[in-house]
Amino acid sequence: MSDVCLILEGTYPYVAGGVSTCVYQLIKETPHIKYSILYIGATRDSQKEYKYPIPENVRLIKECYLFDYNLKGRTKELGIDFDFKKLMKFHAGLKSGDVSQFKEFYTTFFDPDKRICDPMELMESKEAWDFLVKYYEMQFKGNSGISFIDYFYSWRFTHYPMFKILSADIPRAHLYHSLCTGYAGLLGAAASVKYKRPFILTEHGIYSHEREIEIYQADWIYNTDKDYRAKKNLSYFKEWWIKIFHFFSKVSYDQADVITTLYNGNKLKQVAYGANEEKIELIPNGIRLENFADLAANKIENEKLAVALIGRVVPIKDIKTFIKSIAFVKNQVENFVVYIMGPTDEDEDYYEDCKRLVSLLGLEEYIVFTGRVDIKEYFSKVDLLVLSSISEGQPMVILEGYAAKIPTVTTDVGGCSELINGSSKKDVEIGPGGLVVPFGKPEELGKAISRLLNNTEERNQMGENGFLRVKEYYQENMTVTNYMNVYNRYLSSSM
Amino acid sequence: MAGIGFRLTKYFEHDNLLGNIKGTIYSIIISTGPWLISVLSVAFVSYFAQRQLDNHDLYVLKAMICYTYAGSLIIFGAVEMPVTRYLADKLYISDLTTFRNVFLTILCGFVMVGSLVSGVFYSFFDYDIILKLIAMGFFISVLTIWLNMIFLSAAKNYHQIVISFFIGGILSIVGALILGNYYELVGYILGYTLGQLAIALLLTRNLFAEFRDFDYVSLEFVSYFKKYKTMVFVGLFYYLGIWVDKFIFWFGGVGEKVESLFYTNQYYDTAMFLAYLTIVPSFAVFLVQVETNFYVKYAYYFRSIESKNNLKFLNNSVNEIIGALKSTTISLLKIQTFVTVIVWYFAEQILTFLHLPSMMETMFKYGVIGAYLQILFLVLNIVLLYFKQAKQAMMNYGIFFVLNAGLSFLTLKAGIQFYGMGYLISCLITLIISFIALNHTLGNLNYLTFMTQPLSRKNFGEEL
Repeated sequence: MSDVCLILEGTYPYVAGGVSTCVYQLIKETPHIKYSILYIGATRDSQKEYKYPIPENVRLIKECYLFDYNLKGRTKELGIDFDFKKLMKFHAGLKSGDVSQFKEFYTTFFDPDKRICDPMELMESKEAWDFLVKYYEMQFKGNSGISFIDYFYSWRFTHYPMFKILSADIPRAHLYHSLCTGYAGLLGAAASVKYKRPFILTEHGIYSHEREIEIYQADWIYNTDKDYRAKKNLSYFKEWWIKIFHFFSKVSYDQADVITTLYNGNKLKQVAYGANEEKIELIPNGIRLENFADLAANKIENEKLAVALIGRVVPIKDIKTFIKSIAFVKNQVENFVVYIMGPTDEDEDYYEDCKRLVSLLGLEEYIVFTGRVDIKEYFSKVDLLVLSSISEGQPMVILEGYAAKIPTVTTDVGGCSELINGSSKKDVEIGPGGLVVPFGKPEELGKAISRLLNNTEERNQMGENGFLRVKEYYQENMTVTNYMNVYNRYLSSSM
Repeated sequence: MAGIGFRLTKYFEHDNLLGNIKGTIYSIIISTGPWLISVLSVAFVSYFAQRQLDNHDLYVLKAMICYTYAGSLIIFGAVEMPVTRYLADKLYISDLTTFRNVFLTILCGFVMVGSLVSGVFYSFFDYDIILKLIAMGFFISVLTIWLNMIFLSAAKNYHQIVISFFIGGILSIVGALILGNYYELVGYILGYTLGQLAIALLLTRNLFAEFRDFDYVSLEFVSYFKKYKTMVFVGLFYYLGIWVDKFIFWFGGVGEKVESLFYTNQYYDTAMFLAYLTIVPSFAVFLVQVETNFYVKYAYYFRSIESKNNLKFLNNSVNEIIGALKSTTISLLKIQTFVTVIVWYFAEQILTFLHLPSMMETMFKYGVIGAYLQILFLVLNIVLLYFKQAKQAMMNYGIFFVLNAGLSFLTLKAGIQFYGMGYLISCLITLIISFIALNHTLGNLNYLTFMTQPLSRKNFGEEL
């Protein structure tokens, strides 16, 4: 039996990214803890490989795939003895976020040791069909029904992966820790019900919120614009999906003993989605200050001022707004250069658009796309960092800049503002580590950049402020210690 | 599965007597072709042959024709449905490029299996090698005709098909008579075989003329035997079922030994073949009606699912299918009841007219009723197959096969006044279980249609 079972959805060890790095750090820095990993993916892919090393204290990696095909097409009546009125009530209660029956349903239908039927057989059973039809007829009287085939497949695609997750065999552990809500959160909640063990939920980005944005933009969910029913249908199926993800979040929040997130803005969102505020603790990201120590000391004075945007060239980073803002900077600052550092191959079309925009605005002599580079090499040359994203969590790049005493001009998204201006009272007293502007406003971004480029004293002061902030609040060992503190609260009693 | 019915409807569209007659003849030929040729040619040839051949040779001739049809139909039964399914799927996507090669590949298989089966069978006989080879050629020719029948459902050139059958049929009779004059039994068999070979060749030529698309070798159809394993047994059990009572009456102790493995039961065989003839007209009508009334509603149902209709609409579509089936069945009942009652009532006169002994009367009457019930359960099972209930159809036919074997054996022991009753009762029980199965299927059609779909979304148009 492991100490901590990490439940990971589409991250470590198969997918690179912020959460994955954080998990890897955590495991690596706590060699005395035995981990097991429950990895949740969409479909099994024999080609995929580990993107991170697996430390020795990981004792078990178990994989669970949402869409692994195994419906047999064998319809039958299961003859199960269950009051389907309860089920009706449960579904009706979901709209108001009432998930109080989750425990009972999990034990009755999914817990591998106690369930009354095989959940995958249930998916194909006459009982499920009858309920599906009854629920449809309850919602749509007479001839007002929506497309049945879409209703049917929405049911399958929303419920199949959920059933798959809930009926998974969960490894035993002293403590369950999910790194997001969604399917991982649902599984964590199930584990806590099944083994009556503590459940910790960590959310970097707010899952429900991210899914909502995706669903509103999704065109794979049935939608016909010609049809007069379109508007109703659109909202019905999209709302169904959103309701499913809200349900996952609500169950995770309710079952979790501790909820952690990166910064205060996220906490507020979690509360809005139904989390109990008292359970929420903030554990920000952290970096290793030592890695940047020489950079801060050996600052090179360049003949040209250097501005850098570090990030993938993709729409969410809103590189175009950044490029437009440079057109303003050009008129106000003399002798500067701009680096856009990050892979350009992720969205080739967007990259081409950006290059076209650069030449359209006549900025070729100022802007350099460096592609993927070792950031630390460039850091010694950089005077100012910029982040023009339309969405962020708690960007590591701001912290890394601080470590090298480089201030940042950032858009007011995610936890950026808290990083620049501080969150707690003591933190705010340190002073700002840069400037915050609204997103999608090139002129304001350009003004802020110009102000800091032209004002060396202010810029240096902000770099110093940032360095202090990262030293006080955002060191990697603090992050790990914070998680360890949470773990120890529950592990010490049972180990 | 959409096939000839659609095209045939055009003959029935106008209230035009000639058109109706043409349509009826075509549908009779296509639907009951195998039956008709077997029964009619046996009747013709044996009618003429009895003037020239002695009794023993006459029996050998009849037995050889009969065994050839029985054996070839059972082999054919095992491949009919999966290949039909394959062709229908290809037809649905208008890809006819593989038809020639699939035909040739199966033909090769048939030639091999046919040679093996008939070779082993005739090795028990004392015939000289020439006669054995002719008999084997006969077997393979008939198999080829059946194979052509599957592909015909995809063909359009009915005139040619009918002409092929006509020419071959005449050639069989004339060839048999002329060659029989010179070489007696061997001549008869050779002549008859040449006629059948002519049908096989003409149909094949017609098929090649129609599917002239680019050929390439594809063994994809082989996977259909794996995918539709139950379909193999559906065909196999059906043909075994309709022949097993004859086998029992040949080999069960009351048959007469003709020669080596050839046994016959003159009275039972003749009574049953005559009884089968009475269901030809209604089978033709059913074919047209099912492919028009029923198929239209059936296709409409799946299209309504695809075009995103609501549940109430789908339920109405199901009711329309049921309505179409009812009206089809009722028109079938009308015709067949009429035919059956008349034949039953005049059974004695019919037998007298055909110079057949009156002791055949009871078994003929049982046969007539049995055939009536058989066509009804055949109809129900064809509908079940439309709704992908192959397993159910396989069970129904399997039960029919077992019952017909067991009950025919019992009636054989019970005495001549019960002959044919085993067949009748098997048909009745099979009809009842088929009806219950179809009723259940239609009552749960939405459930069965949706819940048996694979996980990923597919196009319901493919059901057609």
